[in-house]
Order: sequence, then structure tokens, then C-alpha cells
Amino acid sequence: MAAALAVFLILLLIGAPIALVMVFSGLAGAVSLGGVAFLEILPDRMFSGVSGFLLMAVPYFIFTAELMNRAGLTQRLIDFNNALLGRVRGALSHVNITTSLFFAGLTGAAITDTVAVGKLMIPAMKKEGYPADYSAAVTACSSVVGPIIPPSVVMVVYATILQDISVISLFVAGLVPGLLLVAALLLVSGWLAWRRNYPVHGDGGVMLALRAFLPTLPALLVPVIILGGILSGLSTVTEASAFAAVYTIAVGMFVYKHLTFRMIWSALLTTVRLSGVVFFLLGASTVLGWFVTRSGITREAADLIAGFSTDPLVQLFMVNALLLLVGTAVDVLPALVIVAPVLVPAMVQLGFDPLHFAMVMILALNVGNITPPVGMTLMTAAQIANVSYESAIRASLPFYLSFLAVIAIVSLWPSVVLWLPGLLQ
Amino acid sequence: MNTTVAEPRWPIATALGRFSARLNRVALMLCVACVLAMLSISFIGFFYMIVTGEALSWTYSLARLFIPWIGMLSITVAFHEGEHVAMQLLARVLPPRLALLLRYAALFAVAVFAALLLWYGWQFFGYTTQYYMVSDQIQIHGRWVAACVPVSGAILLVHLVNGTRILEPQDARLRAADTVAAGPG
Repeated sequence: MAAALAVFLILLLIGAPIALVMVFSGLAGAVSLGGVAFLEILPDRMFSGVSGFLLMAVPYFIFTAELMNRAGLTQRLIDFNNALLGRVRGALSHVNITTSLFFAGLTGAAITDTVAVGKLMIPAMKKEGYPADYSAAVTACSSVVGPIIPPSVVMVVYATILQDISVISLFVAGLVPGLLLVAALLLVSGWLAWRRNYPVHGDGGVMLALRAFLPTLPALLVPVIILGGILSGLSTVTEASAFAAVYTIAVGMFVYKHLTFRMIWSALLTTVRLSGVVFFLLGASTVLGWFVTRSGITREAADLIAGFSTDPLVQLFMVNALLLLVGTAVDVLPALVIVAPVLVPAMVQLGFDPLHFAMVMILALNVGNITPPVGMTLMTAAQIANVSYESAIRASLPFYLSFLAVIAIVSLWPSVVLWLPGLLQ
Repeated sequence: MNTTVAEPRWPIATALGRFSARLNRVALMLCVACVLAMLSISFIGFFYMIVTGEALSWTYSLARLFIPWIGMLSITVAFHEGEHVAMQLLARVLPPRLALLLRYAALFAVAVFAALLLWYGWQFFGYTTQYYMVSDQIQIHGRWVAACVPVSGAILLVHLVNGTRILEPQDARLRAADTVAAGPG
């Protein structure tokens, strides 16, 4: 245990890739348990970590998102949301948030959302007089919804690591917390728009919204296909995601008439590169997971949490604080594969519902997307808005508070998460 | 989109760097081919079931053979292109010489990982005896799939000729921005 921890800290500090840190701390733990002979777990664990049938959905989801980005969907989504909310004070701020909601149903990756929406929305917001730091903040904060609303690569990874929870349950469980997040963001955005007298955008109304809705309809069918196919039992997650990718190519080429073979090729190359990051983390998590399950760390973690308090709420809030802390230093996906194998079994041992805790964990770690020092989406948005990271952090504070409120609600009332999956069973 | 790692200085290193870049290109193409094959098979299976109401049993067994290759090879591609996530906090605050030293230490860790992957992966390949049953007639030896482990280890070893550059994070954000900018959206 001490060897694994020492290797973990040393490699993390010297800047080795996080997946490599996990591999070597897992191997150090294995060697401390059974000597050098245990190094031979490496190929078997790496292989099984990247071989799960469910993992076929990872490149499919990334590919679909990349295709959507290239097919010219973002501008159509913004047009539609502008038509819906154009007459409201602070319209572009709200549009930024609602566009992210729709985008979340298509891509499920916060950084993709930030770049795609931010490149179009931030200049438009600045032009209408919104402060640049606020434009960056609202873009980054609304992107956090991406991995919460299905489909979500983060959820596929979670279901792969913790094999006793289905990705379908996770997808369904994410809907209500995701919508809650959007509502909280809109509340903050509305309040700030009123306080700061942000401008209305201009035209809007039902007819305009309907006209703008029609071009987005074929793309918005993607989440319907994925979720509808899975929930109706017509297809598995992998089949639905494969169909969504093929459907997106058809929509991009024949309906939007924007997608070229060159763009599809470029989307494929990006898919492979991004998949490599996810697969390395997955392979590494199974190496570390091998050691974690044999070392008794899970039991110790459970004892440690129970030692602080026997009140489940206090336990959950303590773990939340820990997750938020981890999220500040490590990106969502690596943070998830590091802490989930230890914390989830510990929390289940303490009597928490696995699905409820899964959603609390995904929510809390996702806030890490916008918290310093490693808030990737906020850094990206600040870069697009051409403002300092520090001022974007300051502008994000009201949104942080709304996220904390949603995490508290989801933690306090498990039914927020469990109601919909229960209904569908 | 700039995806190449800068060439090393010495002639032999330059040649090796070119070889590493070519190898990466081959790995990338293989991965793309596997993704397309897997996607086609999954789509055919889904489409067949929608049309006939019956499942094509071989699609599941065949498609899953590609995923270990995609998984392992894409890890090497992401390494070559500096995509892997690392914590750079300490490196940012240290003096450049010390930061470089840390990068060499991290590179050594990558080298050990690649060597272990090749060494134990080769044994793993040798021990693999099971067959994948695609259908009653078609059986594929597990070694065709298990080979992805030592092959990836070997490729990663070759990429070490690029030095610490494989640990320098490419600006993923700007790259993503380029990607989006490439589209009409």
C-alpha cells in the first residue's frame, strides 16, 4: 500500500501521464503483494481493460460528436435558441446555456461543447456588450451539463469500471440532475441579466422558433435514436451509438449538405486520438483496480469515512468535498478512474445506493471542469474570449454556487436521481 | 491541424524520428480501418434486426475482436501526438533545467512501461490458447487479438526516439478549436 502510494505521488508530481501513474502504482502494489512475478498482470489487465463490449460505444460517441461539429449544427442550434429566447433580457447568455443543453444530448463532452458553442457565442456576446469574462464563464459553466445528460462517454467509462451498474441506468439517471443544472444556470443567468441590465437580442417568437427548429430537427433526433433505441430494448448501447454515427453522416451529407468526405476523414482521425486517451485510462484503471480489490483499501476507506461520522449525510458531504477537491487538480475522466474503484465500493458498503452515488460522483467531479487550477473548459473559454483565466474564474463564481446547490439537492434527495430509472423499470 | 512531433537533431535520430512518424501513421490508419470495420458490422447487425426482427449472432462476436486493437494502438497514437493527460503543476513552477530533468524521469517511466508491455505482452501472446467463436464455422485464434499488446509495446518503444516531446501536451483546446473551425458550423 505504501509503495503504491509513493509511486503514485512521485510519478504524478514529475508530470507522467496520469494513466501511466495508475499503471505503475498498481504494479508497485502488485509487486508488494506477490513479488516481481506479479508484473505479469500488466498485459492481461491492460488487455481486459480495453476489451469490453460496451467500449465499442466510446469511439462511436466521439465520432458522432466530431461529425456533428463539422456538419454545421452549432449555428443552427444557436439560431433556434435565439428565436426562442431572443426577446428576453440577457438573451444571449440564456441562449448559451440552452444551446449547451441541446449539445449535451448530442456530444456529451464538455470541452467539445465549449469550443463549438464558445467560438460562435462568445464573439456575439461581446459584440452585444456582455463583459468578455462573463461570456467565457457562462460558456464554460454551461458546458458542464454535457457529461451529465446522455449520451455521455464519462458514463460509459463509469459503467465499464464499476461493472455492477448498467450504463442504461446511468443514462436515465442523468436526465433529471442534468435538467436541474440547466435550470440553476438559467436562474443565475436571469438574475445577473436583471441586475446588470444585459440587453435583449431582438427578434423572437413562436413562428420564428418553429422555423428555426425545423433545420435542427434531424440532428436533435440523434439523442432520441440513442435513448429511444436503448430504452425500448430495440438495440444495445453499442448498436444505438453505431446507428447514430451512420445517421449523422447521412444527415450531414444529404440534409445539411455540409459534411464532406474530407471532414469525415478528419473526424475519424480525431476519434482515434481522443479514444487513445480514454482507452489508456481504462486499461490503467484495471491494473490499479486489480491491486485495489486485493489490498483492502476499499474496506479501510469505508472504515475511515464511518470513523468520521455515522450520519450518512455527513459522510456523503465529506465525500463530496473530497471529490470537489480532486476535481480541482485532475480532469474529470482521470479523476473518475482513480477514485471510483476505491470510493464506490466503500460507499456501497456504507449503505448508499450505487446509482445515486454514481450520479453524485459524476456531478461533483464534473464541476472540476471549471475549477482552478485545472479547469480545462474554463481555460478554453477564457482563451476564446481573450481574457485572463483569473477574471474568468471570478465571473464564474455565481455559477459555482448554483452547481454546489444542485450537488447538495442531489445528495440530500436520492429520489431526484432514482425516480426516473425506477419509473422506467 | 499540426499533429507532427518535431524532428530530433542528429541524423540518426532524424531517421528514427521519421520511422516513428511513419509507424504512427500506420497505427493511425489501422485504427481508422478497425473503427470503420467495427462500425459497419455493428450497423449491419442493427439494421438486420430492425428489418427481420432477428439478431445476427456473428456481428457481436466479430465486432468485438476489433476493440482491443483500437484500444491498444490508439494509446500509442495518443502518446505520439502528446494527447495524454498529465499534471504539469510542478513542472510549471520549477526552473527549466529541473523541469527538464523531471521530464526525462517521466520519459524513463514511459520506456519502462513500453518494455514491460512488450516483454510480458509477448508472453501473454504465447500463452493465449483460446479461440473466439464468431460462428459455428468461423473460429479465430485468440493470438490474432492478443498480439495487440506486444505490438503496442514495440511501437511505443520506437516512439521514444522523439524524446521528451511525446510528453509535451499538444494544446488540445486549440486543436479542438481548429477542428471546429475546419467545419462550416
